[in-house]
Amino acid sequence: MMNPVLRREAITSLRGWKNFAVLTFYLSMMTTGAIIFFYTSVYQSYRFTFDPQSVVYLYIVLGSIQMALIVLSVPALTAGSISGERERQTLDLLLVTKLSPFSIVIGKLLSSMAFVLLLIVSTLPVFSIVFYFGSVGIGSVLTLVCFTLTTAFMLGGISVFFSCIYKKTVVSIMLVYIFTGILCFGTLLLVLLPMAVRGYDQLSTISTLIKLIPNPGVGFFSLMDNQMGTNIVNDVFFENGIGKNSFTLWAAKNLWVLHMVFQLVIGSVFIALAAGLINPVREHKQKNKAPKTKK
Amino acid sequence: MLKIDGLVKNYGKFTAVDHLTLAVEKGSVCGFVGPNGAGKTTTMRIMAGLLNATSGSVMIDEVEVTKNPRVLREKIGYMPDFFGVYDNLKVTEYMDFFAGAYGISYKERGPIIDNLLEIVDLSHKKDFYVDSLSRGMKQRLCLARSLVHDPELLILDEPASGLDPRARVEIKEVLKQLQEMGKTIIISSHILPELAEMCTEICIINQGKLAAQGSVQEIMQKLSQKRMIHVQPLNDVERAIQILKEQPFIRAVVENTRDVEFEFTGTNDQLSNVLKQLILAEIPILSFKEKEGNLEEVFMQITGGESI
Repeated sequence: MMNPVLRREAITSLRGWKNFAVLTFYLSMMTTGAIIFFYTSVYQSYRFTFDPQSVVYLYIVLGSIQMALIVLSVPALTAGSISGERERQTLDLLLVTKLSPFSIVIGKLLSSMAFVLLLIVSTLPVFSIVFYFGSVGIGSVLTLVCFTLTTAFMLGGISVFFSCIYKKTVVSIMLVYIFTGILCFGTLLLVLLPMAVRGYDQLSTISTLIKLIPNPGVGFFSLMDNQMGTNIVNDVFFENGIGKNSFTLWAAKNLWVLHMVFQLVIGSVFIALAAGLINPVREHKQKNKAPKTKK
Repeated sequence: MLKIDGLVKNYGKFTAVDHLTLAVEKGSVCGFVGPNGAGKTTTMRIMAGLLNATSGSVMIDEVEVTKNPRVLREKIGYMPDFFGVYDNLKVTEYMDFFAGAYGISYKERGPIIDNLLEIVDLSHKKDFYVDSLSRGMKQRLCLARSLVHDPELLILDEPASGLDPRARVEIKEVLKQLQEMGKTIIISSHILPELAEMCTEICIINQGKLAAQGSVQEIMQKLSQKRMIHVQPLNDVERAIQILKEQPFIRAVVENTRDVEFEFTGTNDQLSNVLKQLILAEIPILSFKEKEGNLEEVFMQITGGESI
């Protein structure tokens, strides 16, 4: 039997105007990105012609826009999942049913993921421009879709978790954006500051690796490196590092694989925590430690 | 059906429920009465498995609620005091969603939903959006939702609050129907006369403690030493008053234009003897009854005058 929460969300979300607005905005951003790319390519080229070989850069541009949009839209789509139920005063009605807290959380997350998948699938016609000129294979695009979905899964899991803690959806959304900001820019600062202070060749490779694995931006560009046959991430962060071994050499070139594993683990942990937070039985375990009452 | 034993719920230093002990028999309709903050909603949420007690136990059909909340959810139908509805969902879809949440198969859902909407008189609204329904209709829909898995015990937290008189009567009619179906119902309300009318027993809760439990009459007899009796003779009111004043256990005889009221402190046997004396004195009696409707006075007496 299909998860009832997912089924209900599927029915209600497509009846409202909000998701259609998000879809329209998403597609218009992707299309605008593609148009600007073509315009600048032709405008800057000799004799106003388009070089088909430069279409790989279109793939990177579209992938980057997609990643940015997913990072921005997933918290907004998911951070209200449980807090919204609280605000609507429907959470108790769900908790008294036979649905487990885990089913409720998974149903909520899957409904958001289904919409993210819809967003990604709807952009495939834009990506098909790349196929028209060649240069990028279907395997690369599917890997990019998987990478985007794992990013959405992690951010969705974190969003649901904050949604369980805070009653206000706005607070949950803000906290997820702060958390995402720390992952994207905080981890980068942790690497760049010591690099600026101590120099490129004084940093431990393993330490840099640990700091950069959680970073979605570095993970994405590591994937692009892998697909385009370039080595930019490795050259910038690991080339002059100390304490290299066979694992760090492999990891530096395949950071995106480690990042995807990290996303799946973190997403799963936050989902489990979220399910625990809305479970009334959890409270029972805590309250057993409560002080004795007066007689 | 339901046994609560030494139930305690603390919120920090505040004790919301304080060693509450009570029992509700199968098939009965138990009214939970108490002033705001008395612990009614907290107790009901513990019964529904939404909140766990600091100590004590709640047993439903000999099964501990806190230890087996999921098993008990099959037996319990819960309607909270405040609840919302989903946007963009029709009445049948709303019911279908909760039927699915209770694990009812797709095939079984249709007839169950039709039957429940018939009971709560919402069949004609089945294709309407839930958020377009009136408050009373939403209350009835929520009641239907709580019945979707055919629970034995219904926990209804102020189902008639905020409703207009017509909607209250409609809810009351549905509850009577459910009572006839043999459901055990625990209902909290601030509308005491309504509870007195429909409940087989009343539990008065004050400051988290059980102040009184029993039928309305039992509570009034137990807690009120005086009973107001209303007598309406066909004529000769003066002579009726004279006879009443001669009887023991009678005081404060009040004469109205066509009838008499008096305070009585004796037993039922002694009261029937009063009527016998009036009849022996050949005073035609049209009506001789105990005055009802002063449950609120008893409530105020029990709860120390706290308003409800």
